[in-house]
Amino acid sequence: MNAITQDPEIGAGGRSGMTGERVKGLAGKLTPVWAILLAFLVGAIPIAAAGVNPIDAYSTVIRGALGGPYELSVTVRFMIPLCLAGLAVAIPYRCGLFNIGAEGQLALGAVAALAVSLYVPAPPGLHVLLCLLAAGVAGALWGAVPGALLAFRHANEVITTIMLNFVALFALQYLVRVPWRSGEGLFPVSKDVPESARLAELGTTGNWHLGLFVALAAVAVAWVLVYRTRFGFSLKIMGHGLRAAHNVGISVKKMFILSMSVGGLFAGLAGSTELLGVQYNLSPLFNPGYGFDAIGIAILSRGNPLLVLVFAFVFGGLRAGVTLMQRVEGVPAAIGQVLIALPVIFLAVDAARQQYSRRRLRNG
Amino acid sequence: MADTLMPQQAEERDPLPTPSRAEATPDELVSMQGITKTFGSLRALYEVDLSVLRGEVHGLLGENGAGKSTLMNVLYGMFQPDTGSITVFGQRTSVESPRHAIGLGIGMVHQQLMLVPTLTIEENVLLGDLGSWESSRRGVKIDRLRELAAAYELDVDTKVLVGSLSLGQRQRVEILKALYRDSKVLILDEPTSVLTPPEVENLFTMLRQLTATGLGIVLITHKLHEVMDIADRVTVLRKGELVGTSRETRQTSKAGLMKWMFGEVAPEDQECALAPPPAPAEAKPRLVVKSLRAESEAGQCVLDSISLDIRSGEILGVAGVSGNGQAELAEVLAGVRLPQSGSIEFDGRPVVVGSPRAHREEGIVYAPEEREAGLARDLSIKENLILADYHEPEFNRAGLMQREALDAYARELADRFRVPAGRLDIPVRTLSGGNQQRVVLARALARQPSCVIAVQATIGLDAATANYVHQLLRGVTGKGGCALYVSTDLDELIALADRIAVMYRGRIVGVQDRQGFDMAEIGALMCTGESAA
Amino acid sequence: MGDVFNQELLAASVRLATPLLLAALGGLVAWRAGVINLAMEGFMLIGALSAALGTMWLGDSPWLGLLASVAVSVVTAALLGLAMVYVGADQTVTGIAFNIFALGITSFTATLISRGSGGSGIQAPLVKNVSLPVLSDLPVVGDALFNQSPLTYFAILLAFALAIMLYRTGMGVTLRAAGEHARAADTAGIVVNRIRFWAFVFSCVCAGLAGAFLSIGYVGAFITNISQGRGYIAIAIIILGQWRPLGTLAAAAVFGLAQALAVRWTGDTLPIPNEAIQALPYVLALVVVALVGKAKGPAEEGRHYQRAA
Repeated sequence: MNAITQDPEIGAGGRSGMTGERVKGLAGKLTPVWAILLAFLVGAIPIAAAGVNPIDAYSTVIRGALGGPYELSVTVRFMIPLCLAGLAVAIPYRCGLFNIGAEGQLALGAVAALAVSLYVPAPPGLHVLLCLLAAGVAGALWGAVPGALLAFRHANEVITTIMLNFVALFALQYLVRVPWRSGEGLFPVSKDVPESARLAELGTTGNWHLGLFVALAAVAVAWVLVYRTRFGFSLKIMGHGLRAAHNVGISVKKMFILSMSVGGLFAGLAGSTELLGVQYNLSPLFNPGYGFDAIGIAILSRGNPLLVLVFAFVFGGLRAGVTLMQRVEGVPAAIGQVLIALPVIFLAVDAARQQYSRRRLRNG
Repeated sequence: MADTLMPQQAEERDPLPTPSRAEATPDELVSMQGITKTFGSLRALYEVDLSVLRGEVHGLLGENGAGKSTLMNVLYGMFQPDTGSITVFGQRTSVESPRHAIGLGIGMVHQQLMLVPTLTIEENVLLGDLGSWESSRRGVKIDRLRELAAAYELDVDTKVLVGSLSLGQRQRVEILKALYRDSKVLILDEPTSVLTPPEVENLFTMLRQLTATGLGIVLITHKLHEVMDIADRVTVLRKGELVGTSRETRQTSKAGLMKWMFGEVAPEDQECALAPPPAPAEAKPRLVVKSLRAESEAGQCVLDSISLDIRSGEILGVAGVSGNGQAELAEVLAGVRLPQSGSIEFDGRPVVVGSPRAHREEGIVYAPEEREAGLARDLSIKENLILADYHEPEFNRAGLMQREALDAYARELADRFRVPAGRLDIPVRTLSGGNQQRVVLARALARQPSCVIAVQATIGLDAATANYVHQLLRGVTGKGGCALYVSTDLDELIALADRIAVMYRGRIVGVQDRQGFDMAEIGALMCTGESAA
Repeated sequence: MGDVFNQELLAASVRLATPLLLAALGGLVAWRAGVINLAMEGFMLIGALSAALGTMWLGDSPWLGLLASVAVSVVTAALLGLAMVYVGADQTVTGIAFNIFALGITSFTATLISRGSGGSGIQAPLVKNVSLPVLSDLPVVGDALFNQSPLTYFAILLAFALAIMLYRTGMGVTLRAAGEHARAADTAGIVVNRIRFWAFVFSCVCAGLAGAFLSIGYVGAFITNISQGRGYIAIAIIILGQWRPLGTLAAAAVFGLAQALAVRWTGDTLPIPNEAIQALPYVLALVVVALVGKAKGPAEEGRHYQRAA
């Protein structure tokens, strides 16, 4: 087919089965809810193999997630970074890009926030805001890099973001181990975030904090962005066909960079709220894989910010619940990862099956 | 059936009757009978017959979409026919797959060369023939391949990567592939569309060499002069149906073949446009294009220094067989494609190239072929209607899109252009083809454009809707606007356009005024690039 | 400086490079056929666990453990391959989701089993190193290069074998055609999805073997997340090695060296922090991807093939 020389992504070679087709490719008949239920069904097998009644196990999970005010606070505590990271993946996803780099953007956001908290003195309220701002900028920059590499060098963003994750991780490790290290203990931990920069606690459990409002605000902003602005509409068009997008005058290159930057921004916020609201310092164990869970959240929510919040809550609850389940029923908490991954796989297979049969019909 | 279509052609065909269906002569390598193939709702072939004789070059002629490639793809096992039979070397068979076809002795050189650029010539030729653990560098097979290459004067080192070869050379490699597999029947799909004249000569020489050894060749082409040059017999298809097979090409005339290809257009059947066009001398040019050059991503020249102008109140039709640069021309004029060089001026002002929005701001709008991504299929009707204008300031306040305004706009467009849909929030792909085209046009014509660039605007539409489209265009030109109308349907162009420019290989090879529309001449220009005279 | 660059470093580099090389070579084969296997990380984990368990339960024999690892990898890969190659599920999504799944299921299983064995974890005797005669007596490099695990030798041999296979055999031509121009391969009579499927299974088995090396060839136990992202590093290695087997060998060596250096360079005796050393290969891979762009990778990477009208 004719190559449109202006845009690198539309051409005879096309992008390797990725952009454009991807969003369409994940809209099958199977809804996320059914996919999750199916996952729970399949997940019951290893649980049973562990000698535990799956129903008991699952009810404990639910108890651990929602059973009382404390449990709910743990769920919310996880929901916050998951929600923000979920948005980080969801926004680029709307135009067909995969932001696997949420992990790295998140880490650098936290790093930037820590730096500002330690070295930029400011009165309490302002301090937090400055830290968050720095985190957002850092994340956005770390997202802009793969976006630019994609726009100008056709570099596959999945691979570049994975590489950048590692670089960010190493940066964090170094900073924690050397310049910002605190104490003489064997395990590297950074200096603590000063009081003035911390996100205030809500309630007494130490799990609720102002970061919740950051997350909720982010969801609102993302929602408006996606559904009410030209930017969001352009994303949507791109997600359904880069050629049509180009033909109506959308600068696909610019949008690649912008969408990845916006994603990075949210990821940066995810890292910083976690730092300033809960952990108060950095260590190599800072991020228990929020960025990867976020991918699942984004796909299940199909890029809808409200649903991101919903699934972040679900996944947060899952994380909270499986801890209790491990303690009470003895089922290893790792089953939570299985329950998160399976719905995504089911959705992907189902969507492909849909396209497959539609194509067969067309090609005789 | 073929007989009844063109009674006046009877005397131009060989007086000897064609062999009856039941017998297969020993000279018949392949015989296809009654082939029908439908894809979904598209009827690609209907009851088509074709036979290939030993030592002949059989031309398969027809316009784009006539079904030529499909017919040969059936023979090559890419598709199974819905009805009909295929006889190969006297045996009735069904060809299950390309591998099967190759085994039967049928080889095909596709229009898009099926060569892997990162493999060497040897590797490409041997693709599919080497055992898994057989060496791809040495051995009996390689030796045989090299002998064949030498015999047919492919004077390139066979260890060279195909990606570094010229198109003419690549084609020879494709033919080599078929020869290597002992093809007795060789199908060539539009082989000369990418060749320079000397390369075409070389190719034909090679073909004559091959037929001398008893090979049967099917040459799919839309180019008449090729058929006259080299074909022994010609089969013409039109819109999926067999028009006729001439026994001896020498006994047919170019004019006769063209009539078969395009059909008869009686002068009195030519519809007059709704409004009389302005006299050419008075109309001043609005869109002026100078020396446009454009290249494909692969570096091939698709527009070769095109200059034209479109005058106030005129519809300039662009005729030509698909693939000669019309689509690219339209893309450049619409701002969707960046040309390598050249300029566009509208009403005396230069227009920024390569920016669809800049063009639209000037009043130059684009109505592409719906298939060609004019629509985002899964988005709603409403979304498709606002696709070109949603970013305009009037629909946005403080960065937020004004939904009521956009809804109203979409609704108004749908009503104005009679897009029949109760709800606008259903996916646009649920609309019929004709109604989808209405959406494309609605979008293009929404804001009183000054110049409409339309490509295949009526394809697949019923007569009433097509008429409506024509009315819309006349509506634009009636107010002093202009239009560029690309179509492969000559009947339509003759009915609608004030002038017709014919494109061939990226250049404009002829322009005719309404007063002097000459079908034969246009046909000749389309098929050969040269005047029929 | 001298105490850093010594024989030990060489030996460690080779050891650390082995799992990376194994996975990368497998991933390379799949990629050349047109399938981007992002699930290597997951298969490393699965391979590691099955090898360790296999060894433990099948009479403490590491060789049976390896066999178990291969068997489990094949079955799992067949299922995943069916989804990705034949049905055409998005390779990125499925691959990454599978990695999360694998991490979960292996951690789950390991926790359960090690609980059962009194908290001692899943330990397995190592595959013993094999000292190559004559060669291992060479000065300087002898002990480092030629006194390694058999899996290391296998990996290196595999690199050369694949180089020969890809560029000198019919199988290689077929594979490369499927990955560069699927339609051309189809018209030449090749069953594209079949070759892609088996290339994918092969790559999963290789990743599984890489994991097996980690558990029964290096660490001597299975620990949660034993792969630590190596499956993703393998992707960088393939790119750095420009999708060629010998290039991959070199690239794996670079990464192995970097990791070995990083372990030894903890004292900060030099101005460059060891994290920078560790990060360097990734930056290198990034530069390669940025410079090379899409041009050099197999043209059909990630695309599902279905014969079209």
